[in-house]
Amino acid sequence: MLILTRKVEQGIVINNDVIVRVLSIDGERVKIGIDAPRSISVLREELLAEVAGENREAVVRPSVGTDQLRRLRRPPQ
Amino acid sequence: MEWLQSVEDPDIALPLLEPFLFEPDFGFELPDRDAEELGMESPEDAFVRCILTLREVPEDITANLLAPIVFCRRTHLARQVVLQESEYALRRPVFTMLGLAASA
Repeated sequence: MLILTRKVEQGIVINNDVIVRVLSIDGERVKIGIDAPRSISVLREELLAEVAGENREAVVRPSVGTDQLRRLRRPPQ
Repeated sequence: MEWLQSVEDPDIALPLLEPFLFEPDFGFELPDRDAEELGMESPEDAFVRCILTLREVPEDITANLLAPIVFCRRTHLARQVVLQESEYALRRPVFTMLGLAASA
């Protein structure tokens, strides 16, 4: 891992087209600006981890899941 | 409800639901990158499903609106899109909204 020290308003250029800049620092919160082409996906790491975790939780082994599904019925109209 | 079944691992399937059933205004902008990689040529190529997380107690069943799966009818490709800037929930309860009831 490359570790760089930056001050507020200093940036880092990645691959010539992504610029990461430290916008402000307030205690433990750091505001970061990212300038990247629309073709680049930028996601918060913990959000991605949450989605991945939920996906794993949603996985159903077909033979197990159908029992749960059978418990669901539409109420009589 | 529909199922997304893994062909690589028959033990893996994901239950899917039409998000518009319980979130009529559900909408988002598909990033150009995703549209391109899915081979979308027009908006009609796309259809959207969200993943359900089934749980023992039916009332606890939730839908993932934060990261829906977008399918391309033309290419049969699909991808999960994380709607980072949206207010949509990762775990949206669906049971009561769909008017479903559990049978004993």
